[in-house]
Amino acid sequence: MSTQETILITGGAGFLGHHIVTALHSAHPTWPLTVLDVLPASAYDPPFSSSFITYIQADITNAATLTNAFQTTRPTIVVHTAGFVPKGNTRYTTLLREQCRAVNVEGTRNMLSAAKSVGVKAFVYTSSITTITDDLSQDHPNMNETRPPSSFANPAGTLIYGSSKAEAEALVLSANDPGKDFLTTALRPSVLLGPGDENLLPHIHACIAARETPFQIGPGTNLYDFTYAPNVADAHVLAIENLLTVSPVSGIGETDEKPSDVGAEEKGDEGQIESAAGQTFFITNASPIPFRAFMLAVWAQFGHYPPYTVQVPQPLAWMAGLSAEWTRWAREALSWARGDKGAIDRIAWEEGATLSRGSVKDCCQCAYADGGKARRVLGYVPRVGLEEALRISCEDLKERLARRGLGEDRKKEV
Amino acid sequence: MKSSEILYYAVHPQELRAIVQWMVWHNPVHERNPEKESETLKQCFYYLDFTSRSFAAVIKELNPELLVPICVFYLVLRGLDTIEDDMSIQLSEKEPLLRNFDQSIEKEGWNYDGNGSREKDRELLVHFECVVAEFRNLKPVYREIIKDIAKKMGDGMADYCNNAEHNIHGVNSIKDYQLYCHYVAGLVGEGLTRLFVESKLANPALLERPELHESMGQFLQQINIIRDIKEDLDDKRRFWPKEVWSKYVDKFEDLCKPENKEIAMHCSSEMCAIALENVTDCLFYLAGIKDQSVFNFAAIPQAMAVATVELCFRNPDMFQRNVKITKGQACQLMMESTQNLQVLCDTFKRYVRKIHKKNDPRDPSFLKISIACGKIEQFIESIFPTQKPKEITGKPVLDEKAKAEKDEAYWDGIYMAAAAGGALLFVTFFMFFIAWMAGARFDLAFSSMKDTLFPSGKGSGQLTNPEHKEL
Repeated sequence: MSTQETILITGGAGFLGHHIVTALHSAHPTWPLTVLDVLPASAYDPPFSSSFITYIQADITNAATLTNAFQTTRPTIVVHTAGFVPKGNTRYTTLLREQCRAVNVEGTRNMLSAAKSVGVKAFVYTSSITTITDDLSQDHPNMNETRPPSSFANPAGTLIYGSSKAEAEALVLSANDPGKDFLTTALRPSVLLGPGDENLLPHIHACIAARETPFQIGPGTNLYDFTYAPNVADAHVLAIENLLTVSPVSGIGETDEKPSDVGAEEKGDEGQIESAAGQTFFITNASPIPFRAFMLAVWAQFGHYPPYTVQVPQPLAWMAGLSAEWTRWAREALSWARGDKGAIDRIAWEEGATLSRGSVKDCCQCAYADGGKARRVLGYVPRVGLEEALRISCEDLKERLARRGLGEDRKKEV
Repeated sequence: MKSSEILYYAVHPQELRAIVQWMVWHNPVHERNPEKESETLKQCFYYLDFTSRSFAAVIKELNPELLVPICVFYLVLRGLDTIEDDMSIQLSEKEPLLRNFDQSIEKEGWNYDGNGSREKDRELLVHFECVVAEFRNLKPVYREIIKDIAKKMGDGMADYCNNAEHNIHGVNSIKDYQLYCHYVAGLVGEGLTRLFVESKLANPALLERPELHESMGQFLQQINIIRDIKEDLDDKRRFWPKEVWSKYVDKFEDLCKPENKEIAMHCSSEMCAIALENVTDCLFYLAGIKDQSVFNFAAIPQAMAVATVELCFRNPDMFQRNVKITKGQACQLMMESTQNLQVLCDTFKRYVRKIHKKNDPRDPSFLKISIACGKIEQFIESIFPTQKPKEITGKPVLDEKAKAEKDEAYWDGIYMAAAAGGALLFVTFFMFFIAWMAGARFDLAFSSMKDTLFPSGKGSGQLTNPEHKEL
């Protein structure tokens, strides 16, 4: 690791990207690091004031500007984290399918093409656990990397986000080419929490104001993985180190490891570390807990405890979700019939909604991963435990809420 | 007590059923034969029954190779424990007894009558010469193991007796707590494991993972310490680490005050969380046992322990009286523990989920408990996956299978039709042949049919004439 490398990270201005930039710069403070994102340069706030960190505004769906960016920076290492995530209930619809594919699949294709053109050595792709779990028709307990992505086996039943990430992941892995010194790997983080989170804790916190906390869907015993974003950032650093230092053995990189035996050693044979090239890795906090327990723990951090608990049977909740969807469709039809000029923005509406058949399935699903492969090959062990991670993340959310002038609401909640 | 028990089982018929099932259907893997035993061995089993309410029955069902060694091992440790527990013995007398116990058990005829009259297991030591006699009869390898453990345990116990601070303040840190559990229980796990492996009834790899048998001992001992808090306090003993209870109360005794009920439960939750961290190693250990009777022997106490954690978890009664799992529950657990690892894992999962349900977000250990339970479920899922590999591979396999089934159905239809047709033809031909043999005039029948189908003019004429006559 004494050699000088140049890093380019996409999506560095986003939630996870921010933590990855922090981790990369902490691990290699003298390596030039370029953050590439769609935000205007004036809107980017780097985690460090360092001359080694620069910013380029570019859209990964634009192949020409992307190629220019690569020609200018000529990175040797690429971390591809940029992606489009459907928000709220749009996640369970196909409204944003094209946007999903444009950014997540075509954008990734552009990235791979540009990376190869300038001789990038290591390409780390931030995939997602949703490549498996977005098949909401079944549970995924203790899944491991031998499972094929759900969209391959059940394309019709897999959500658009998981499908797009799986397709992009396949592009990345098939681009792995040790012969040309172009090594790729994909990391599949589970649902993320951490400072700056906009997708998980804020929604759970919003249930307090909406008085939804007493309602538990199903028995509430379904285990789920929640992972601290800085830990995932560490995994990216480890993946880069692996790609740079471990020579891939031809043949091994093409297939996933078989699930480790119960009696197998936790670490591989000494002196024979396995290459991560051409492989995927689940990245978790190694602490699956019931989805309901996680929500209760979040609310407790804000001093809220449900005064009582109503257990809603899942089929009933599913019906309620269906009713909510029909209500929204009816409103949309009525609005259209009246010929309102300000037509309903269905996407915005879906983003704001919380109840649907999909969301019911999502929070009743049992979905957690076996982190054995990441531990064995990358040496990844979550540095921050889930308890501490939750405390830090909630403190951060409290501060952000206060800065947004929501202090009074918080007082009321307490 | 009896009438209340009757009432209890009237309201809980499921548990009564479990008791009946255990008594009627349980088949011991092995059974000892008292007629063939020496007098001293019979006495040993008498004392085993006398000193061990729950373990005696399980020990007696062990593989004959291990039956006597483990019985002796148990009694040796019970002897040590009886000396250590007795507060009426002077330290100057107690210390050498503990440290030299491994030598005493080799002296023919050795016994000890210095226990206070209140000590319940006193009689064992008064007649300890029968244990010594049987110890000397064991194979040398077994003797060596038992001696080694007795030495380590005796030294550990003596160290604690000498520790003035321990006697005044009890256990300080969680590490001290775990070290104490190591001496009184972890070493037992080590000794038993060495006996299992030496007798070829368990995987030798278990010896390479000392943390596994350590966890077996730790889990049992920690659960007993948690459950026995009231009993120990009454006896002026305290084993809960100060590092834990000092977060909740200023004095250990305050945990049992009714007004401190809520924080006492928080304290016991933290203790339960510490204990639950051992469970995955326990299950790992049990997966390494080959012999059924040894598996039963090791699994039953662990299942009892997990049920006891669930009983103690967030249960304020444990600070007021001695709480125990019911007899029905115990029988249910014994049945489930004597099948195989998968059935046992289902039992563990059931209790872990009960703990999950009782968990309360107001409890400072809420997430810690949740994480510990989650890891247990994950471990069980890793050895007994609920997702079948067939389902995982998904449609391609299903498509092939569906196609094969379709083809099969198609050809089955063809074959069935052909068979039916063939049968019909055969029967028809056969019937005609039989009829002909019986003298049927097919020539006449054929002519008659011909006339009917193709009537001639002559025939028509004949038919017409009679009508005219009638008219």
